[in-house]
Amino acid sequence: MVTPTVNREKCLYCGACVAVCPASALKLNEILIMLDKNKCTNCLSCVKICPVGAMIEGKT
Amino acid sequence: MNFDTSFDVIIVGAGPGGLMAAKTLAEKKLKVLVLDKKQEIGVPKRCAEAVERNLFEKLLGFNAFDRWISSYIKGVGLYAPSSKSIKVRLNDRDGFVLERKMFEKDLAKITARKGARIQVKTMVKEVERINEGFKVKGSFIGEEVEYSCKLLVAADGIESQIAQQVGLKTVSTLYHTDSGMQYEMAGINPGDTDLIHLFFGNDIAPRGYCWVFPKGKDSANVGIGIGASEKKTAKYYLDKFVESQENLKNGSIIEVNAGGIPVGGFLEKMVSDNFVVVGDAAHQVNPIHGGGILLAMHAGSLAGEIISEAFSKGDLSEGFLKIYQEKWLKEKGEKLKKVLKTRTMFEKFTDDDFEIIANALTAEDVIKITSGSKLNIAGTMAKKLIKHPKLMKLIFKGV
Repeated sequence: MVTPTVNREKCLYCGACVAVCPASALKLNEILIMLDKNKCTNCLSCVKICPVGAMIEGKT
Repeated sequence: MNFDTSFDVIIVGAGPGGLMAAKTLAEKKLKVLVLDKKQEIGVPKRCAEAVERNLFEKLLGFNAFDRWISSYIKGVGLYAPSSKSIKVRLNDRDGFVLERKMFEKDLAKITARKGARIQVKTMVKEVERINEGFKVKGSFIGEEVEYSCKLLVAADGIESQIAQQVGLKTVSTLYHTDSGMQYEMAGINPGDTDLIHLFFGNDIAPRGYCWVFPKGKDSANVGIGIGASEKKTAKYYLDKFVESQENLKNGSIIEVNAGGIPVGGFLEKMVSDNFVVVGDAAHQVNPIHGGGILLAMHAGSLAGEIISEAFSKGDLSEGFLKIYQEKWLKEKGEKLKKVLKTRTMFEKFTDDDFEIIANALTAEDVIKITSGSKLNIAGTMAKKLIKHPKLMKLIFKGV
């Protein structure tokens, strides 16, 4: 299954991924994007919106 | 930190929307707390910092401080993919490129001076409806904190979680969210420093455009907004753009900004009992240029006015607070819906279409079309259509 993962070196903590997540699986702390894998529906909206390509497709 | 923990109003988010709401409420002698998860107000910025002067100063109620202003702007330069440009300088309007962190910090100081309490580095984790209002739980530099209020304002930006927790529908679809990326650059030549510069083309910025907003004579915000459904990232296109511009490519990057821009229309419901949403969190953004500072400031003061009326009437119900949403729709929303239609038309333009426009229209035409009366627009367009029949194709495309 393809799931999103965060590349923390690239992430700018802008929150774009959080805004488009239809499952509320992402949360943004000031310097931390948190992904709740139980809520994630693997739609990859977060991967598509990410301005820097910090959200990447990973496999589980 | 020990202080009284119950407030009339708690505002989550100390951006321009949240601060304007807080300032308005504090002026009406309500007890206000503003919480922000960031360590520093105004940092990092998520925008290109341009505002129109008249509206900005009218919303503030006083003149902009000199230290907020990086550049004075008299108009706009529009560039087609071939680099053919139209430069438009307006006589009756002008604007600034702000130093936004200065502006926002000063706005926070002014708001605090009016009597509001502001606290940064406070992450709100949970809001819970209680009998008459909300309980707000979170942490301040890791220390658990709990506050209560009679009314809660969500001004927590595009990634707003608060409104969602309260039960409003806030998720923005991918199609309705633009992906934005920006470098603040130094050691460059930003072109005419009294213009903001916009670059169009489907290879340059698909479903969007690149911008260069001068901040003084040798620095600028250089950015891009594109549709989120593109295969390549905003960063990919921005790097390509910078590389392609002789005056930029050897410059330094002194700040990196990114963000999602909710351009697909605003929240259907911006209020509920004891609850109001303002700014990016309510998707109050201009769908053509993605600008949201002035809209957030307007919504913040409007919300402040209506909320203080609600307090003096003793009615914090959705029924009363709805006046805020209705007034907002009337003053801003209806116009923005029309702008959204223009955007839909603009998105269909090909590179050839951009060239046709650049060749057919002069700066004067653009002024007439964008700021003139309906009669002016019709007249200008009619004359142009006779000379440039290809323009007709574009109009049909839009319909």
